[in-house]
Amino acid sequence: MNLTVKPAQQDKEIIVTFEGENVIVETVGFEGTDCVKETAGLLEALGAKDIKRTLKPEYHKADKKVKTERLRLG
Amino acid sequence: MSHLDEAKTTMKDTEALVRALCSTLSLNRNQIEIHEKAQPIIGYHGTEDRKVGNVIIRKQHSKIPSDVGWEMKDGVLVGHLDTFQYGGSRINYGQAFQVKLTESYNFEKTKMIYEAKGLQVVVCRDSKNRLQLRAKLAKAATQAKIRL
Repeated sequence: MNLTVKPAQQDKEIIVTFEGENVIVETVGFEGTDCVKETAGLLEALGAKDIKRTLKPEYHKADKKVKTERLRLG
Repeated sequence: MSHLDEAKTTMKDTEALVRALCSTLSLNRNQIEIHEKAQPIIGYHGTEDRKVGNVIIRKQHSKIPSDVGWEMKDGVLVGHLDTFQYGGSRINYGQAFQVKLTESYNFEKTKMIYEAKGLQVVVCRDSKNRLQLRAKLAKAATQAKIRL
């Protein structure tokens, strides 16, 4: 028997924090390198220089992980 | 994947600068001049300072006895500001003002970008009381087929 399971959906969100002349751009819930593509336009429009990038593997793992449970039916 | 970028910024957009000036200096839009071709800025002595600006606040509205302006140079808006602290003046256009203006510019520009994309934008403050803009995109649609 095939059963399609949809895991809890995660919102894709871009959080931009403003601190003086600096911006901190955080992305949550993206798959693969979509997050980098999504924020590239914003950083370019803001004339961003000296970008310090921190990848967040905890989200990366969370995106890929699909929680499955074997159910006993009947 | 998710990530965190931290970067310094530069002002490049006239419209975002005008919005930032309105909010930082509590001005109306019609108190700020916008020129396609840069115009002379009038200094303290009432004479042209040989500086020009594409965005100008005349002294009637600048709250100091001279004009202040921003000139578009090589795609970047460069400020021509009189940073002298005048007696009785309510404002100083020094470093603190410029940092505050850049922050406001970044906020306005980011808001313009995400609103133009039709995204849901929420403005709030974080735990350190920093201004924050949150743009929500469509939910990630992932699913898996399981054979039982």
